[in-house]
Amino acid sequence: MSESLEAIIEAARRNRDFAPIIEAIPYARFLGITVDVKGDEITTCMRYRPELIGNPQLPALHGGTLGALLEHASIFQLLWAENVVLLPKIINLTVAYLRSARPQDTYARAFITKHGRRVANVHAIAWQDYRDRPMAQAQAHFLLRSPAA
Amino acid sequence: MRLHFWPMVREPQSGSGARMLHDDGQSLDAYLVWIGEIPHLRATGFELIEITKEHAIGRIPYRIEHVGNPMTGVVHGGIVTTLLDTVGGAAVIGRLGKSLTMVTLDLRIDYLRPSTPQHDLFARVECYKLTRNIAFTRGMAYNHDPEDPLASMSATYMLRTPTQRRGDAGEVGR
Repeated sequence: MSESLEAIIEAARRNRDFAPIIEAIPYARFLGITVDVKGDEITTCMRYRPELIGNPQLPALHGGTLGALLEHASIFQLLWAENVVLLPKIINLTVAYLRSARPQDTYARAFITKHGRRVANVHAIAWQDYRDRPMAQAQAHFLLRSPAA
Repeated sequence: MRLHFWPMVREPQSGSGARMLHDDGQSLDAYLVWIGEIPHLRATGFELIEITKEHAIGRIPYRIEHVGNPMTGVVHGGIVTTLLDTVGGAAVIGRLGKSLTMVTLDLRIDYLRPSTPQHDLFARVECYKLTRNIAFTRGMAYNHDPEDPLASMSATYMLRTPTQRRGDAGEVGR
């Protein structure tokens, strides 16, 4: 039986458990995304797998996977916020790559800079060992959609 | 629970038939081998279709595991990011005409429209300025018609980066 994504998101917020949302998003599963909710802090993790390597020589994770992790963290932070029950649509994204990411688990957290009625501006960072030494950071805009729209 | 609301997808096209055009094809052999062995690109089915002095074109096939919205079957923005980042790097190599180590400094993507479900992703990127240290690129992602782009990008790459990590500090010299 298939539930609507909207119902899954509602339930996830109620139960403080994002696993059913990740289970519903094929690309999040492909990247090995997990989400940890502590209080109002949502940390998105990308579990290391050899398939994420983009530079075998260093070795380093592919930059695209870091961009994707930052986008996921932003979406989960927005879904956590009130009145967002449909998946936000990304408008644009700027990623700055600060350090190459080593072959290990990578974490990300997003901060909503401005949450308007239709558009949200989000800042996100990704790190590995130390949060104050981020591997990448992103600035993104998302289009928010209400169920009635 | 897995959602599969969109119609079943066709099998991805096979990776053969790549067209490699370059004035100096020999010197890019090492790069083509290198990019063909990158684990994440193999995992996503990436294929470099064309690499010339003017531009690079690459493709990532439509696959269920790339879907970001299970209600519509539209691929996630992250897979577009991976494609554009990779093809941007290839465009720099094409312009240089030789293989060189580099890292992405920054990457901006505007999502112009959703990618069409069940259609492969293509990207065409040009390196429009090359300096001693930095390469500037711009390009588009599309499904089948380059005149109907789904995303536009601009990215900068830093050239001649170390091929090995320095010590155990996890820091790569820049």
